[in-house]
Amino acid sequence: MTSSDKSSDTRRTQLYKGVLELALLSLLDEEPQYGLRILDRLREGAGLDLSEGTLYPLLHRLNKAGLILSEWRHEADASHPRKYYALTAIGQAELNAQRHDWLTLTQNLNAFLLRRSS
Amino acid sequence: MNDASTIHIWLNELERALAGLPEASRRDIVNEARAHLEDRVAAGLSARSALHGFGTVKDYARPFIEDFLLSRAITSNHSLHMIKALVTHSARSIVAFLGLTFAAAFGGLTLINLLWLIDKIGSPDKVGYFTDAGANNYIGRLPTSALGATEQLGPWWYVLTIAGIILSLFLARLCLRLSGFAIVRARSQSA
Repeated sequence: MTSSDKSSDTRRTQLYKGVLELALLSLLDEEPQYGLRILDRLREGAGLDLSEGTLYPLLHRLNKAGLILSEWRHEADASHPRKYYALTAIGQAELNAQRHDWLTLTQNLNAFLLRRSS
Repeated sequence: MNDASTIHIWLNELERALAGLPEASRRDIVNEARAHLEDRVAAGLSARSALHGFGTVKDYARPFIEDFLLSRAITSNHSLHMIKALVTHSARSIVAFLGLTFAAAFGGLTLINLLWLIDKIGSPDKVGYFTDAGANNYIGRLPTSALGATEQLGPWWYVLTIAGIILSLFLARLCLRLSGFAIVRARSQSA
């Protein structure tokens, strides 16, 4: 990996840190999901290259903070129970606030970044 | 070594690394990791590939341990728990480092006041706040070279050292608690 690749990775990592919680809460707004599924959806759908070592501690922290709740479910098609996460009312409010802030920020920032090309 | 035993070994190490956590939390974290790994292997991934995203046991366990120590410190209001929590953060958090440093400084002041108090009780004529004819000031035990120095505070020395102990202890605990709260707040604001 070249030094420019490493710089690009570091930049992306810092950007991801700021949006990971928003993406996660947004995902759980759809329906309750378990860790592996959350990881795959965020990687494929949101383009966030995060690891298990980042996701599970975050889920743990959000659970403790009351933004999400968890329960173990044993589904018929699974060989073992899975821990599902769902948004709480507090999490929903936090999601709404973060989503509003993000959309406002990106709208303004995109317009600013594209000002010279228009 | 097959995939099942590789995962089993990693999970056993994780359980040992999380030994300081309450059993329910520890089991929950380990079981969730197990479910994830078993799903990945069942989908065709090797154990090594499935474990790659978790990193080393130490790295994976660290945020859970730090979270637990911090929560315990905040809820228990116990200085020792707070110190332990801040020590785990001090390498990566300037707030934790400064909190511990100031707490240690005030802790040192507590000790000094305590030693002065004990020394005064043992040697009331040789400990206190002294001045001599040459306008030299001496605090604590009077040096043998200081001749003709007069103690100025009398019994107020006891009052001031006891007040010093209480105030220093209070400030040391305050530094620990403020640092702990600052770290909790910072963690809740960042992913």
